[in-house]
Amino acid sequence: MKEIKCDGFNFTFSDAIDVFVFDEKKKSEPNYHGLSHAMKAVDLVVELEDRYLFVEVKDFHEPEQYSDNEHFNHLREVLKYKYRDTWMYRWAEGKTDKPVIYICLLELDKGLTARMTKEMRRQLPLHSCKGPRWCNEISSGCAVLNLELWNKRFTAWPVSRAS
Amino acid sequence: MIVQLQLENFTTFKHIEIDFSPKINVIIGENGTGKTHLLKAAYALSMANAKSEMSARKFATFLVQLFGPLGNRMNRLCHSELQASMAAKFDFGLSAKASFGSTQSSVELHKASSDSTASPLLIPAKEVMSTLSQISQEDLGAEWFSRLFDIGYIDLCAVMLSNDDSVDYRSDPRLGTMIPKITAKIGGRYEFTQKGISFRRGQYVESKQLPSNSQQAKMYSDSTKMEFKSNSTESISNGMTAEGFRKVGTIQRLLENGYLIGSIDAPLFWDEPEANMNPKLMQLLVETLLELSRNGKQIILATHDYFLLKWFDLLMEDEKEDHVRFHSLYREESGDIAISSTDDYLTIEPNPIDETFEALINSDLDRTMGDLGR
Repeated sequence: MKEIKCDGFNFTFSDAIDVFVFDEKKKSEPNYHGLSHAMKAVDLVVELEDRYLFVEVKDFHEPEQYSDNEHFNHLREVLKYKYRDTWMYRWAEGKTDKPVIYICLLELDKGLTARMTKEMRRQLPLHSCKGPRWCNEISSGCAVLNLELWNKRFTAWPVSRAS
Repeated sequence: MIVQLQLENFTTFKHIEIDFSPKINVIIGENGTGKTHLLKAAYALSMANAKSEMSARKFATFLVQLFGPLGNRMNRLCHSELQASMAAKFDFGLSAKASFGSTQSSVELHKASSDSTASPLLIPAKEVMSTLSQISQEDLGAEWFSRLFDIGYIDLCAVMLSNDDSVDYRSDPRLGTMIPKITAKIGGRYEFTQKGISFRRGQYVESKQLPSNSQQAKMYSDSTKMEFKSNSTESISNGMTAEGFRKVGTIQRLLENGYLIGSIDAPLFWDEPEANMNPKLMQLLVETLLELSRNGKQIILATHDYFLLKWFDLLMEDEKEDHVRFHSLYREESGDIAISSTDDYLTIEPNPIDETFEALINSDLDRTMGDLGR
């Protein structure tokens, strides 16, 4: 069982081999990122037996503003490039040996999380939307969930707000 | 304006009490939780309050024609064969109350008002535009029509076929701006003439009639006249237009014939405005309802639609003093219907529309991720 605190949430991954803050800023830490000036990064990387999870966490003060297309599209771009840069970094590390799933914990209403899931799958893109000449995939799954949906769905990976 | 509704042992309700917003009320709930019954009960009592000639006997007939109980028997409107009562409070301290029993056919009606005021209107889920032409043919007879449609439809049709010439809707600054918007969205207007009802393509443009003196010039600048310009010589049969357009056309007609302006003090009830309407039309619909509300119209509608709820949440403006109250009907463990109300979109509970999203999301995750994380 691996536990970790991230952006005001406590995560537990009961079946994880490893969990770490991907964008580690401290040079003294073994997972020091070192390229934060050049590359975007997801919050957590989780290693499971047969896949990796990239996890991005965002709690919003004004979640309703993402109903507006401009804010929504900006958020989509941020999430997309965080994934792609993280994937590139992991490729350079030689750590893309398992399929990668992207899960975003965003405190939005369910309608918006469903819309963002659909958009992200097209934008990453997922294997089902891959380029016509691709023989490898860069993402095998994507889900955008709020806290309520996450805890109902991922019962082996409970999340709670840090007090 | 209806302030509160109480129903006891009435149709599906054992006991329910609802406090309405003076502005916009959105009722949600799964099928079978009584949304339409609630709308109809509030509509019936509002009608009793508005019509001085509404006696107890006429009210009983009205209820039967509105709800269509089995065998047209009043006692079929009683919940669990108990004494039923329906009561409403209105603004200016007015009220109306009706009661009837499972073994008696008569209704007792008590009203605090004896004056007639503007009548409320109920727009049903099914569009009525396509049946208006038939209704206006007198030889078909009212009885034939009343067998097919409840009194709510008949009242609406009568209002749509009427025309208040005293209201110049195009120059009325309160709602006149909505007509060109609606017309632009559906690409034309429904025209009501002696020959019948048809749809003509076109749009509203500023009138080229220039004012002839300074006073008129001021009026012109205060309120620019708009006139309909058709870009087609041919009309389209009403029945050939899209059903969603015909629903929007209902509001277009009620604005153009002066009803919505002339009866601004009476509530507007609308059952499932979204039925047969493309979600892209929903923003226009909500904008129109908010504009009506800003001009004093109380709106009470029932919906299953996420987009409708969400557009209200997005388009309401505090500085324009918009107010939307969400009422959620749900079935308790005992089987009784209960209601919870909130003024905050995010705290609607229970929210069957949101729960549907959850079911969709989970089904999608089952397909794409299997048992991962479980």
